[in-house]
Amino acid sequence: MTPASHALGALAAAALACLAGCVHPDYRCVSDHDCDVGEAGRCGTDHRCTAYDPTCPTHRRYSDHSGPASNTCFDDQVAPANVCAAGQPPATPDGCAASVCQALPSCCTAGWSEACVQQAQLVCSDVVCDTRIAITANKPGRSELWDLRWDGAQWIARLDTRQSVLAWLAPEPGTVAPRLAGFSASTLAFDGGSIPTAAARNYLEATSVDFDRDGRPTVALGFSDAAGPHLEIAKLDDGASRVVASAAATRLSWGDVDHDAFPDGIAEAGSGARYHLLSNIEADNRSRQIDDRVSTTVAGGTSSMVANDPPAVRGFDWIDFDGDHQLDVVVYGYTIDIHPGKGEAIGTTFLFRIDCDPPAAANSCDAMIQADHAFAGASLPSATGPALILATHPVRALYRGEVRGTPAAAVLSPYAFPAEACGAGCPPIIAVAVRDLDGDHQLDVIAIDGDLQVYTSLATDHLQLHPAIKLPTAPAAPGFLVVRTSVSGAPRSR
Amino acid sequence: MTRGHGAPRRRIATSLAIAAGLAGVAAPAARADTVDDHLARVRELYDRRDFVHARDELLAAYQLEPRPELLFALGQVELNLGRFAQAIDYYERFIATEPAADQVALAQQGIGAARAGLAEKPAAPQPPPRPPHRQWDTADSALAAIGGATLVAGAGLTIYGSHLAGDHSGRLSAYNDRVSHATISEWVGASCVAAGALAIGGAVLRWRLHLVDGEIRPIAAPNAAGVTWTGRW
Repeated sequence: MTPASHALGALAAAALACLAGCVHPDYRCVSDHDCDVGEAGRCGTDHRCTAYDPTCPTHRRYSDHSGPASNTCFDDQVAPANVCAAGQPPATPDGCAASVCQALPSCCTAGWSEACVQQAQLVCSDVVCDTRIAITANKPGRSELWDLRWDGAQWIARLDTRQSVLAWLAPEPGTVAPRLAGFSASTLAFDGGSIPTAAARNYLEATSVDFDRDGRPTVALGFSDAAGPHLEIAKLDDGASRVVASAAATRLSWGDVDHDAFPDGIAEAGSGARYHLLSNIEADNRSRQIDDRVSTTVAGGTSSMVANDPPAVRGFDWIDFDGDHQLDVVVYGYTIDIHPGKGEAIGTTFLFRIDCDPPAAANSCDAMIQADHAFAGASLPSATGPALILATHPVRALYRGEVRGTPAAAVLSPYAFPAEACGAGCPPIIAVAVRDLDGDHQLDVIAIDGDLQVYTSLATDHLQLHPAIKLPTAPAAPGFLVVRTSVSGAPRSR
Repeated sequence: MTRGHGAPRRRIATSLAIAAGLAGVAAPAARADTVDDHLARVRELYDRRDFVHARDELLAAYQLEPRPELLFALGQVELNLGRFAQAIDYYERFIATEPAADQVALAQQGIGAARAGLAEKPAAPQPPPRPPHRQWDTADSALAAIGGATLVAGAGLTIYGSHLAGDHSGRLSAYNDRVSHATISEWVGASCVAAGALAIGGAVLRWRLHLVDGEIRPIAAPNAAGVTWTGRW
């Protein structure tokens, strides 16, 4: 063969190779507007188009010409850079997250919630977190915002100058640091940015949640206006937002109600005793909406009869209380209601309802005593089984409670307070948080009273509370009625 | 071998016999190289059809002894060498010696054969056969031209397709349309490039195989048959 023949052969081969090599359809979108193929096209953070496809867990599938992802189901699972912060997309089941998701599958299917963080602190030997608590303390005519941090050695408290609602948001995707946010002058200002908010809305809550399962940094803002409560779903990357109808928007907390791939919530309706389970559902236009039709109330609590008028609901918390690997939800307020995550979805059925002082099954004490109480609390998963930390009101007491036996009964273990000058007049505990403070992979208790005195009790302290830090309010004993906490953290070295 | 040479060849024996008879009578016995010796070598050379040396021996013998019969024998040798004019000259000189009538008749026959040889056109010298060689013909040119044009067009289509697919502007639906067109364009383009390359390759191959002045010989054997094509590759 001559060189010319070789050259021609090579040319022909190159032409054929060109067919395989030259055509690499690879479309990158800029906005949802670009994704006009299929139903409800959406441009993702990876600049790929997805379209509605109910056969995928997230109901979205990559479009043609999306590179290697073409025609695969979209899923925004990520390996969280910071497992100590809630509000992130569901985790890929690798490493620590695999252990977490074995106990709580929703952490890898619906979202990385606070329950996932607590589980990670329990089961992941390499996870040690600092603890950051954003405190919003209220009483009539006064509101204070505090940034309280435990760095492993000491507590640091800083008064925040924003106007209302201090909360920790999830880290920016791919980063570690959670972002402290608060409302101020028609903006939601957070570390590294801000988005505009509507002046006519009274914002009550700021929470991170992967509401649309699009992997974008998303916040759900609870607000009320003249039309009642709503949720505002806002994107922190471009400030886009939409209002989602919801009958409840106060003390918003995210977990899993219906066991699908989307995070669901629970919130209190206004200032009443009613709370709603907020199922994240699909609207006719394929956007995510809230189904708030399942609701119930905490019982008792004729608050007008009690000095300082405690709120009917102090907070919500998520825990696998019955060991079925599904999140159950616990409501703390006039009563402590535990709703199991059995069946298709969490309903209004109680697994257990606690009332009375000392706390017990709700039907075991006098109605008048029931009426007086408004519990604060938090759930405490542990290697020996789930427990609840219960704070009574108006009489100051703190208990570790477990539900045992048939019929179920609350088994209480009281915490011992340190001797203090205020004595019997010390204000009640009105907020409780649970985190591993000392890195021993056991969860510890942080309790905050109405004067913003912070107590801690490590798992190894045998139910003894220790004064941790007194937030330097002025006056020193302001008597706050409501303290809302938003907890986050970041990995730290031991 | 030219026609008409058969009879003179037969007669050479006669002429040599004539010469030998004469030699047998008159040859001097004392000479080292006698006429008879020459004539003996003439017979050997003649049998081997080495006429050139046979002529030399006859001339040597004639110098020794100019016998008329040797003239006849020289005429026969020249006739066999195709030197017809010289042959006629020897025959006529032989006749001039007034030999016997039958010998004159033989010489006359020789002259006739020589004249016939003279009358024939001398055969043109056969040129050496031309070695087989390649030839780029019109068909090759046409094939290469068509192939080249197809190749260029295909390359253009391929580039156009790549350009289309590389245009990511606009919405996904518009991009999809462009990619569809690009895919078709690139497939057609690549096919054209391949076809063009094959056509050019075919032209080159055809040029390589198209040997003119090659020799084709049939093969016939008790158990085989075929054709051999002898050429240079």
